[in-house]
Amino acid sequence: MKKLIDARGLDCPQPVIATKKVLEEGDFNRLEILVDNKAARENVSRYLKKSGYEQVNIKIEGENFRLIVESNSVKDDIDNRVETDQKEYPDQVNNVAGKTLFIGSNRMGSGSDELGEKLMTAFLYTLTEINTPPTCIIFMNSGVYLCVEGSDSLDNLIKLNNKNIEILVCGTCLNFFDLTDKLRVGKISNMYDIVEHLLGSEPVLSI
Amino acid sequence: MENFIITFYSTHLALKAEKVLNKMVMKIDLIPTPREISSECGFTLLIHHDNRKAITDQLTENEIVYDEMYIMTEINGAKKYEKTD
Repeated sequence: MKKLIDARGLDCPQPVIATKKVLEEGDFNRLEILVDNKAARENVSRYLKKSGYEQVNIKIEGENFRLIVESNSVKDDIDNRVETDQKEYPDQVNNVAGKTLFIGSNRMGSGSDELGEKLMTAFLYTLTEINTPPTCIIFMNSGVYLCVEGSDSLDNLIKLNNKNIEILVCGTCLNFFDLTDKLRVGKISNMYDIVEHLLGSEPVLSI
Repeated sequence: MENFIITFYSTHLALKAEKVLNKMVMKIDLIPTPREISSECGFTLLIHHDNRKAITDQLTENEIVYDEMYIMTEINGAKKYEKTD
């Protein structure tokens, strides 16, 4: 039986919630999810992969994306699932002792905006210099400005990303500031992934 | 092209110097002063440029007094700072 979720026009993270519901119901051989923006495509695709659907086919249909999974492609074998997660999140496996950093602003502290911006740039630079970097950095609200074209921290964040540090950027926030097309580092993420990280086993530092 | 570091007497001077030198269109980073260097100010400029004199001239022209200048070299990932004029 084929199931179709029409998630066009839904705000983040509704497409992921709709997908989650249908996956829980099961009872399909083939599931298609229709979304109308890149953030939803990334979020739903990542959710499917995390749920064991290794093979997510994505068709571009004009402005929309159709994500397709077949139920027989799901990995039920736990060993295989761990392997998939390692491929998807190598940093979490190789650097388990680290911390998650939550950055909710493009400035560090309050008092002077100018100083706050410079402190944040210096902070991210210092992360590239130390031997115990975090495993994951989450950017929200104006923090997403640090990950887009023109940011003074872009080179440093790319360096961190290349060291297998996961960078998650709030898709809703990028959309709000009209910056989605200007993202240059990190993965577009949603509240579900972010909450999972914040409430996961790693200690979280909020900056 | 070399990497060098300029230290300042105050945060305000470091920020002002960054603004002035940014106009010369070059790679310049405002970074925390490296632990190996002692400075009055927590901010330091890391500059990638081939003409140190052009930089100091520009600072002098804009009446920005700097503290010290260091050449930065990197050997096997370890950074070394050598004071220069």
